Parts: sequence; C-alpha cells; structure tokens
Amino acid sequence: MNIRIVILFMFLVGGVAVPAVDDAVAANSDLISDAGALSKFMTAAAAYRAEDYDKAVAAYEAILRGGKESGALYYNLGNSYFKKGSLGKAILNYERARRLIPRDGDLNFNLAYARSKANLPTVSGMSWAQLAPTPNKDGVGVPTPDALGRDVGIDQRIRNWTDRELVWMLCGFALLLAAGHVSSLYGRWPRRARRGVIGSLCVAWLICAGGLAAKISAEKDLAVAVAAGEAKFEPREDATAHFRVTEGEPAKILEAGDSWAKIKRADGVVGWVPGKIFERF
Amino acid sequence: MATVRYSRIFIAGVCLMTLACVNVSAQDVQFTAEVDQNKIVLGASAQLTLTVTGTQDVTGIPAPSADGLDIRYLGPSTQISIVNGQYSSRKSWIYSVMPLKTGHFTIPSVSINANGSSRASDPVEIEVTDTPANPGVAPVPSSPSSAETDTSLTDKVFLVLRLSKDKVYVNERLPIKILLFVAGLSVADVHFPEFKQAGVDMDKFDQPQQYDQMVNGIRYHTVEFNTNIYPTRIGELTIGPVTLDCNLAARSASARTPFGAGMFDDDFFNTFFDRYEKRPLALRSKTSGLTVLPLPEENKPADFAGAVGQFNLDASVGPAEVNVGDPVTVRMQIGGEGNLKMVQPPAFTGADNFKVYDPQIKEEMGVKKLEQVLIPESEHVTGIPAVQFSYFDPTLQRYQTLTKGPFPITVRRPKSDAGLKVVGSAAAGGAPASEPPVLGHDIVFIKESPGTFYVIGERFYRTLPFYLAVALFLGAWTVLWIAYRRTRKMTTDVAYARRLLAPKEARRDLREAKRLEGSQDTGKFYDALFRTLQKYLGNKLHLSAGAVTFETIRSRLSGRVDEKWLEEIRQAFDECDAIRYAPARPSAGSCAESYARVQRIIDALERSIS
Repeated sequence: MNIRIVILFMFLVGGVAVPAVDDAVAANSDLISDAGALSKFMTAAAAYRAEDYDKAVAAYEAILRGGKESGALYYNLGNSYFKKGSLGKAILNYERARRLIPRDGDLNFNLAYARSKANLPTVSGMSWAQLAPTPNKDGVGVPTPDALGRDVGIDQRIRNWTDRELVWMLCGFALLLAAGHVSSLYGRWPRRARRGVIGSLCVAWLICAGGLAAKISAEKDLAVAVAAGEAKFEPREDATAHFRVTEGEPAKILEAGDSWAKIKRADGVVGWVPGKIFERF
Repeated sequence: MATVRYSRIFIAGVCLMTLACVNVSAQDVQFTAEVDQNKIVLGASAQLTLTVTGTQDVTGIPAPSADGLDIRYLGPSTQISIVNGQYSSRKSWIYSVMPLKTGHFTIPSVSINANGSSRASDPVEIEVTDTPANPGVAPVPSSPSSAETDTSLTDKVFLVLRLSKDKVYVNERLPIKILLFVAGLSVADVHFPEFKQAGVDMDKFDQPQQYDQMVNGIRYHTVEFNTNIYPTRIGELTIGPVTLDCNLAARSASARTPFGAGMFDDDFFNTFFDRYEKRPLALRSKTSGLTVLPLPEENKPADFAGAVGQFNLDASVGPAEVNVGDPVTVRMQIGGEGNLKMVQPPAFTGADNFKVYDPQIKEEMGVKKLEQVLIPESEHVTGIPAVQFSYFDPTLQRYQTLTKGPFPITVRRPKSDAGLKVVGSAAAGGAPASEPPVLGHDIVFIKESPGTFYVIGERFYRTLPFYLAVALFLGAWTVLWIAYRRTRKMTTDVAYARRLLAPKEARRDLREAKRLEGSQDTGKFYDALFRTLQKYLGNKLHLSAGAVTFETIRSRLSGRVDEKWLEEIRQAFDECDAIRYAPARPSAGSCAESYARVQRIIDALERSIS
C-alpha cells in the first residue's frame, strides 16, 4: 500500500512539474525551415573557413533569429566570436551550446580555453559556484574552498545531461515502473521481488527528477558578461563602484530592469550592472 | 601506666643528650689538612683532605687554592662515633689536586669557623716531578733543560695550527692541519676542533689521523685534523686560534695498588688498580698570519664567476636525434681542486630556436653536476652551442677557460601533425601516458554538421501531445490497477462478491419471473418472484437461502432503510406465501402488482444499501 502511495505521489509531482504548453512558441509563424537553417549554416561555415568571421556570425545569428537552434550552431557561433576577439560572446555561446551538447569534447575544450583567455577558472565542466572570480587581495567576498566545492558533484553531473535527456529518462523510468508494478500484480510476484524492483525504479526515478529540478534551478537566470564593466552598489551611474566584471564572467540575474540588472556573483556578492553587460544563457 | 613509662624514657633521653653535649663541649676541636701523597708526578692527581674533629658546627666549605695546582672539591665526609660513652665527631672535605707543572708547591693554610671560633690548618707541601707517569707506555725522556726548568702541563698536551702556506689568492683552497700533541698523558673524549673565523669559508674536517712522532727528542702521540679553508676577504688575516675540548684522564695517586711499588708497579697492574679521574681540558692553539691576494684583473674572462683552483669540465648531450618539441638533456660535470661552492656551471639562459628550462645543479662527492633540458623548437637546429667555463689557476697565476662542444644533434619534424595539434583532454578521450609537447594553443575548429535543429524555447515535454500521453499513461495504469484490485476482492471477499452481484442476479431472476407472469401457472410465477427476492436479500445481506425470513430481514435492515420498505417486503413475502401454499388464484393485476413491488423493493434497497 505504501508503494502505491509513493507511486501516486510521484505522478502527481510529475504532472505538476510538466510545464504547460508553450503557446508563444507554437504561435510563432516566422520559423525558418530546417533546410533554410542548414543552408545558412553551410554559408556561415564557408565564411568562417575564409576567415570572414563577421559574415559567419551574421549567418549564424540569422538562424537563431529564425527561431532555430542547435548545439553545433552555438558552438560555431562561439568560435566565430572567439576569432573576432569577443571573448564574452564566445563564452556565452559555448555555454548555450552546453545546454544542448554538454558532453562534446571540442566544446568543453574551447570553453575552457576561452575561460583561460578571460582569466577565469579553466576546468571544464565546473559548476557555476566554481567559476567565482579570482579572490581579491583584501579577501573580501572570497569564496571558501568548501563553498567552491559544495555542489561540484551533483552540479557537474547534471550539467553533463540536457533537460531533454533527463525528461526522457524520467519517462523511461516511469514506464518501467508502471510495467513492473502491473506485472508484479498480475504475475503474482513474491512480495520481496516486487518491493525490490519497484523500490529500485522509484529511487532511479527520484534521482532523475531531483537532477532535473536541480538543473533547472542551477541554470535558471544564469548569464554571462559579454563585456567588461563595473558593478555598482546602486542602479545609478553615479553610484559607488562595487567590483569589476570580467568579460565572460558568469553570474545570476536577480532582477532585470530596463537599463540596470541586479546580479549575484558566484561568491555571493551582489551588484548592479548596466543591462547590456550580461546576457542569459 | 603507659604515660609514666614514656615520660621516663623521654627524661632518660634528654639526660643522655645533655651528657653528650657536655662531652662534646669538653672535646678539643682540631682542624687538619693532609694529602695522600706529598710526591706526585705531573699528569697524576693527589687527594687533599681537610678534616675537622670535635665538632660538627662548621659554617662554609673551605676553598684551598695554590698556584700551579688545580684543586677541585670532590665532596664531604662525616663520621660520628660513640665508643665506651666517649663521643667523637669528624667532618672532612675531600679535594682532588692536580699539578699543572712540576716543582714544589705549598697548599697554604685554610681557615674555617668552628664553634664560633676560627681554626686554621697547617700548610701542606707537595712535590711534583716530571718522572714518567706510566713507565710502560710512552716514556718521556727528560730533556736536558727539564732538570733546570719546570715542566708545565701545557708542554705535555697542546694544540698546533699549521697552514700549508701563508700567501693565497682570494677563494683559493688552503689546506690546514690542526695537530693535537700528547706526551705521557691519557687524553680521552677528544672533540673536533672549533674554528670560527670571519672572512673564511671552511670545509668539513676529514677523519682524524693518529700517529706518534718525536719532537725535540720527546715522543708525542699526535692526532691530526685536516681540512681546507677558503679566504673570502682580501688583505692580512689572522687565522686562529683553534680551540679543542677534551678530557684529561688523570691517574689518582690515592688508589695505588696495595702492594706498593715493585713488580706490580707497571701499566698492566695499574690498569686494574688505578683510579682515573676525567678533567675537562680546553686547548687553544696559537694564531697564524695569512696574506690574501686579490685576483688579477688583466685577462679576466667575461664569464668568470669566481672559481679559483684547478678544474676539469665534462659535458654531454643526449639524445643526439630528436623530433621538434622533444627534450634534449645537457649534462655537465665540474670537478677538481678548488672551492666548489663558488663554481657556477655554465647553464644556458636562452638560446635561439630552443626552449630552455631551469638547470638542476647538485654537488656530489666533490663534483658539481648540472642537468638542463632544452627543447628544440625548429627542425633547422643542428646542434647545441658550446659551453664554456673559466676559472683562475693560482698555481699558474692566470685565468683558464675550458670549452666543450658544440654538440651536433639532429632535429626532425614530427611524422604527423598529431603532436602539434592542440587537442582537449575530453576530445582525446583521456590524457595519454606521456603527452607530446604542446607548441601552441587555439580553439578546436568549427563543426561541419549542425546536428538536430530545435525550435528555440520549445521542449517536447511542454507540448500538448506529451501532456496527453502522460495522462493516457497514468489513466491506463490506474485502470489496470483498479481492475486488479476489484478482481482480487471478488475472489477473496465472498460477501462483497455476493453484494456486488446481487442486483445483476436479481435483474436476471426478475426477467425469468416476468416470463412466467403471462403463463397460466401463477404458482410458478410467485415461486420465481419469491426466489428472486429471497436470493437478492440473501446476497445483499450475505445470508443463506434458508436464513432469509422476514424476521431476519427486519432485524438486519432495521434502521438502514425506511419502515415503508420493510412493510413492502413483508407484503411481498405474504403474497408469495399465500399463492404458493394456498389454492387461491390471483388475478393478472395482482401478479403485476406483486412483480412491481419486488422490483421497487430491489431498486430501493440498491439505493439505500451500498
């Protein structure tokens, strides 16, 4: 009976977790076709080979404006920005690519290299908390080693999976769970076998669900500085400067206004930056 | 009684003590000084005993002293005796007396304060001779002058500092000897000499050598310490003094063999019977002058770094054939006579077409070794440049330059570009065991295929079909689950199954009764109607057919259904019984009414009883 309650609870949770249909996307009638996107992709690649990085960027951006995205597209766009010298934009697009192809070796290498160029920590696959800026001399806001490594394990693992993959895994485990449950009932499995199978599947499902929730939470409002700048204590031009923002530095956007955004650095320091500096993943 | 006995004992004790005090006060106080031997040899020691008798009331410890004698306090000795009621006390202070030279010595009178008055001892005469302390070992013949002049202890044990020359160049190696001479004495626990000198570097001492040698006709046992010094300051230096700590094992004359002189007075027996006393001895050498010359400025090589001496240079390079980016190790070795601390091996600091790593320099067994890794960055490299080492040779009094190389090597371009391409560890599928040297860094090239295009912001799990699929899946699972539960209950719960199936069976039985309603045999109709009601109520209330009577039904349904329906049931039972067991023939309207009543009863009970 307890197992049944757990199963019901999980489905209730799963039902709530599944977001509503995105009407805005469905209503978009200006979508570029896959063939058109492929054509522009090839054009951009040719421009990149010819070292015409501006043209390559324009072609890749055109695909994005057409409403289509892919991991390779973001990766190539990141490369193009890198070659143009825009480290912040390059890191931003590599991070966007990581949402779609997180285990791609070339991508992780390029992201790490771009970070090293931007004087950011270079270990590939680090958690957001690990990407804290280099501690200053005064030790103000310096994250402790514990804070840095606190969510390394779970964060790194879940960032190696896309949200689509995690949802498919959830569905797969749910199907297995249902199949196992029904089979155990009609097949009159021994109580121990039934509990073992259903319990294991429940644990796997819960791990997946927890990972998905953690991923959504960790990546929510994450942004990258596409330009260097200064964070201030207040959202005013004449406010006191708080800290410098390095190009390519990640942060979380807490509030986003028209001209100012309130950001939180990986080490917890909060400041106000002009809205153009940070772009969300 | 016990109190009286203890009081008597106490009084007797007090009397005895009083008598003793009277005796003591009556005894004469005497203070004497004596040595166990008035004639001792240089290097041995005598025992001086200062004794006061007749009192214990002495303040302070007497401190005798005499020129030429080293007197050390060994400890006190107290003796109290009562013989035939005669009380006597004796207190002694024992000293070890060691002569520092030969001659006649007098230990002067010593005063003490005993019983409130001053007492003085008599002077003690001691004669110290230079006769051999141990005739069996190292006999020291008296020099012609020894009969006329006194011999000192420092003539028998002394330290000498010898420089190999008195004029050296700065940083030149200068061997020095420190010699400990011992004649006719036993010296033990010899420490290494201490040599603290500003403006001089020094090697560690070698293992000391020991030998005997004759100096001015006297046989000395000699301990020789060798080392090298390196003057670092230009000008006139005073080297020394050198100090050395040791212990002098002085033979105590008081422990002479009881057999006296004669056949037992040799070293063998003395070894058994003599008592040796260790006395620390700090020896100090004389100083020596040293002139330190500056190095000449003329013809001084540009790469000269301060090495002075005679050196040799060995250098090798390996491997001779490498690929671009592979390491080449240069090994150098500088040995010879000189101050190796000042030797700087000629390391590469930078070379065209080479990446140069910091050298590893170490000093082992008097040889300075250098290992340095160079990485050729071009296949046009044909060799490692020559290495050059310059030093000043103080013997030849000019600078010398040693040259080795150049060393030809063959540098090839790598066969494939794999070693030059920067590949991320994840892309390479893990780091290789030995990573090829990386020549540059850049990003990995773009991807040729776009992969799967997705609509931005669209997720399959946010679409209506996915939502419907999940709902369908959940519904199917729930239905299967409920069906299983129902089936299982039907098979395991008879009352539930009967209750659940009661209306269905009642409807079937009513249809059967309806079929009989039109027939001529109304008995069969009422019989079927009765069985229908009986069976329905039996199923609904889980009763056997025989147990279904109106009384049973009323007791079970009372309070659960309206009384009106109970009355209806009673009427239905009565009608059926009347027709079934009586010859009355009811009208067709009665049959329909009875049928409708049973039907109403079943409907009402279905609504009222779940």
